[in-house]
Amino acid sequence: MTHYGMAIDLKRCIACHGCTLACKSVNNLPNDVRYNNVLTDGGQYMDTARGTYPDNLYRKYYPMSCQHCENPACVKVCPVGATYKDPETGVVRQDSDKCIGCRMCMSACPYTGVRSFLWEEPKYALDFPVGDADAPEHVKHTVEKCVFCYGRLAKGETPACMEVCGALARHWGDLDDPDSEISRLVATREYEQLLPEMGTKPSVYYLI
Amino acid sequence: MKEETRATVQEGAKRGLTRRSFLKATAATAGAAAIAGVALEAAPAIAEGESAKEEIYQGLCRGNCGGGCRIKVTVREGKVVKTGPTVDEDPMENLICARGYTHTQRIYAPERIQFPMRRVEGTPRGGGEFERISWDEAISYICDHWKQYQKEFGDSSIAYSYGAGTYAQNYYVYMRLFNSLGATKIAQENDMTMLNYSWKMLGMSLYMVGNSRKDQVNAHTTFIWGCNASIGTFNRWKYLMASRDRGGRLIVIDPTFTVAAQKADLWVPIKPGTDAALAMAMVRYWHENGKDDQAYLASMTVAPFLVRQDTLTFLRSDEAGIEAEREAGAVTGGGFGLGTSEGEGSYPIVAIGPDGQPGLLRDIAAPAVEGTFEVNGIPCKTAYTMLLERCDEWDISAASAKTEIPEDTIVQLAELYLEGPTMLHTGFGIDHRGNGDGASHALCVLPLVSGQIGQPGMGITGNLAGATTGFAGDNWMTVVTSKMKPGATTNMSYIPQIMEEQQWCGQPMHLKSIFFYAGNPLGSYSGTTALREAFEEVELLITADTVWSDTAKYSDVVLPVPHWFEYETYRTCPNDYLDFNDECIPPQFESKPDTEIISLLGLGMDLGPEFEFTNAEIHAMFLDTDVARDQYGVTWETLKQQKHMKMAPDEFYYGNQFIPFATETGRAEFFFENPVPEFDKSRELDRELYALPFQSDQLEDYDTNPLREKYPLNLMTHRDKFKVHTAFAKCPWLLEIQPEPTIEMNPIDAEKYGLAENDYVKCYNDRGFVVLKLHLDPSMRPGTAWTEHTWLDDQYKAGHYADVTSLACTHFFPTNTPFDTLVAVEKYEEEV
Repeated sequence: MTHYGMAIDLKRCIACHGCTLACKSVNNLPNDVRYNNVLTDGGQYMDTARGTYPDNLYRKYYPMSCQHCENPACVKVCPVGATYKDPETGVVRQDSDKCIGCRMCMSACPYTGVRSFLWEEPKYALDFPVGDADAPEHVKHTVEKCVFCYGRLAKGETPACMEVCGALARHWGDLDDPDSEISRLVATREYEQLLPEMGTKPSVYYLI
Repeated sequence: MKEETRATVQEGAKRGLTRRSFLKATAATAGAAAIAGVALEAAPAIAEGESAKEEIYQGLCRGNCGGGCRIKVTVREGKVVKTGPTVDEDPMENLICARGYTHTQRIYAPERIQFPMRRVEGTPRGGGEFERISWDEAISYICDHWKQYQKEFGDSSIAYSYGAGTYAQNYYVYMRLFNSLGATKIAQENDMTMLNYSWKMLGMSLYMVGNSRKDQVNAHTTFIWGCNASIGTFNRWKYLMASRDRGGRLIVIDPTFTVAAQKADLWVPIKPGTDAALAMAMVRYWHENGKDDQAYLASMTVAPFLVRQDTLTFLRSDEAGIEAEREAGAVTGGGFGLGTSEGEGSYPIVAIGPDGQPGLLRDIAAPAVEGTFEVNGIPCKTAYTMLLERCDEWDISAASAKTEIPEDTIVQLAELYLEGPTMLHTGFGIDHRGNGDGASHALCVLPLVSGQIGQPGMGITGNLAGATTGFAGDNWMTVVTSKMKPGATTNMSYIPQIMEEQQWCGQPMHLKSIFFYAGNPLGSYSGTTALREAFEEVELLITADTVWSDTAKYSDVVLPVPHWFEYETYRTCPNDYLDFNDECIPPQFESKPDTEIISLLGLGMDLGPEFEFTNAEIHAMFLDTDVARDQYGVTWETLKQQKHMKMAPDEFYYGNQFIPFATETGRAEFFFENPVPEFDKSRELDRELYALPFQSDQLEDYDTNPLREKYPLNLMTHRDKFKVHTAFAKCPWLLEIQPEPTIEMNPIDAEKYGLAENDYVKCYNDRGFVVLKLHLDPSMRPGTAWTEHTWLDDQYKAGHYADVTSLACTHFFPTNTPFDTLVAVEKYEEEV
């Protein structure tokens, strides 16, 4: 069995947003739809800190997308099986053909903002499709999210956000393979996971 | 070649080609650099999908952010559909940022200039009323006017000015035109004070004043000082992390809690504009505690040179009464630099030997680096003694009072710097303030006095080094024609003065036309209120650009240039490769590459057959040298085929006996014998002051400025990760993340001025105003605020950031000083 996961080194991430844009580009994402965002844990706005100058300041970045949980809350609530865990890879996938737009998955997922619902016919900056030739279709009244670039995985490639991280902060691989780089990192580095108390068992590890 | 022609060429090469030098290839280059010739996917490559046939090309992203990314450009059905990274075997060399993914939105941007356009007669500049004209009309309109100006007001009435908006070989070709017209160059000296200081002191070598950027991994201690490194030197971040992975430490000195500060082992907040005091205190501390590297100072710097106290020049053998022949300057920079000094040469430098007696420095193994002497009746001190005397004012306590850094932290910094190998990773934060001159000098002294230079992991890096100066095989005669005429050079900051006085350095100058290319000074430069006013009397403003920039909108004639990926060119810096830029799609609309515009203008100005060339022909000429062919195997055709050819060695350690400094003496020249203003030669500098580092007040943001009562807040900019100057400012994908101009301010200040999160804030002073959206951020030192560098005029709710900045500068190596700006802030109550 393969269980794809990601480890993101928060000591290195500088919030360049390269991952966000790589994702946006290859997946031909519509306007205002982003599968990946880089969140600032700090003040009220992107890149601001909290605390007091100069001795008590805090700012940390979290690149954030679907956590591809081992125990995904979204899958349990989807009435039509549109969101499902791929048994071969552990990737939590999303099938726009089946999706009825009920948005139960969005309510159930504790990781706010990783899913987008297309309320309207998707709009694009350009009048022709960009990105990968086999970029996913974007269908009005369906929910979409990061699927670890499943189409690219099928071709033996990595998710787009992995391809070039400007800080070499992202690691990708098979968590079931104890010799994989990601398994070794998770075994040796201190890490945190988001909302572990929810019991979702995310496949994304934040190295701290 | 005639003497004046040669002078102009060298001037062109030195000043115009800002970050390159007029390189001469030598055995050292040839021996060190082999041709790697890493062939990429042959372009166009074959389809990968079943239905959509894809072609893959190489584009060069080149707004001069310093990154040097090769972009993999995917074309389907004649459209660029994807721009992403060119994946290299070495993950450290996989270079791209968020902006690099958005080129489709720049290529197909609605703000593209499509046709030659002319302002409708009778409508005001910047009024937005343009009429479409043909290329023939545009060229003859420009040339008719230029010929008339030349006749009536002289060659200097036509001027040209460029930024760094297309940092590849194509834009150098403009020099061929303007050199042939004897036109006036108006430099846009953004960021140039510290660069110029570093070149004057350390010489411009293969990687400017340092080692290869890759050498960062060897540093144990890195001082990130005056550099917003996670953005300003983004593509070095991986290397900074790699040095940390190997046990290295990052020290950040910055007034603001930047992302680099957040990541650092030690962040030292400093009062803005006091960096010179800190650096000079470190020098003083090292000397006082016997921790200065006197051996390095003696052998590799001008420290042992004797400075005549009557003339402030170096004592030479004829003055000391020592018999010696004149000598030419040392061969410099391991052969990468400026060669040997010409003419009759100078008498040799005199120093004091261990016996206390004067002699020729070249004959003395261990010269005195400190002391006061009298030689042949002339009072002298060593240059190092003079440096120490200059630093003496800055004991730890005085420096602490000035910088607002605790005394023990200053000592800690001084000690940490010696735990090498130490890199000084510096940038342009310091010279964006009006006292950046003395501070640039002071920072560049640190590696010399500490001896942290000349070996792996040591020296200066950041924006000052690590990028190459260019390819040793380039044929700079390409910018020369038989029509060469010497032209005047000035700086944008002096334009209002020139317009008022109608003269420059004692020569009449009646500017009638300015041709802007590769830049948007009315958005990216400073003092734009004053600039626009000065331009009122300039009759014909012309802009060649890809998009409707602030400057294009303000021009009288606008010429459409293709996006970077729509024509062939190549690049030799900032990285250690020659890289080819494919024509991924043909130029859109009626746009023409810069080289074709130059050809049309040259022919229009009756400059003859030397202006009959195609884009490929003029580029091929640039690579048509024996050095390129024989030592590197490079021609236009081989480069076009291979795309990416290694041209500079990774192992290159600058500033030692094997690779000496590319200065006239071969030593680091921290004492300036005869400081002369770079541009305004009519000015007298305070020679004594400028000989050595100094801490002075800023021009506007100084404590005792009475203007503070009206304008109490210091407004700076930060380099923006979503823009390069104003390029990329309108990419929809980037605007999703950062939709509008912001100002970040400490909550203490916001409260003081009655402002709250998300308020629109009017920042203003006597020069102008700008409206920005407020975000509270305790990262900002109280009393300071910052906004992004820089948005386009119609993206601000009202006003423009550049309008509130000034043209004030100092005159040795002028640069614009946008951080040195005071404003008042108030809630913007008008409809937004």
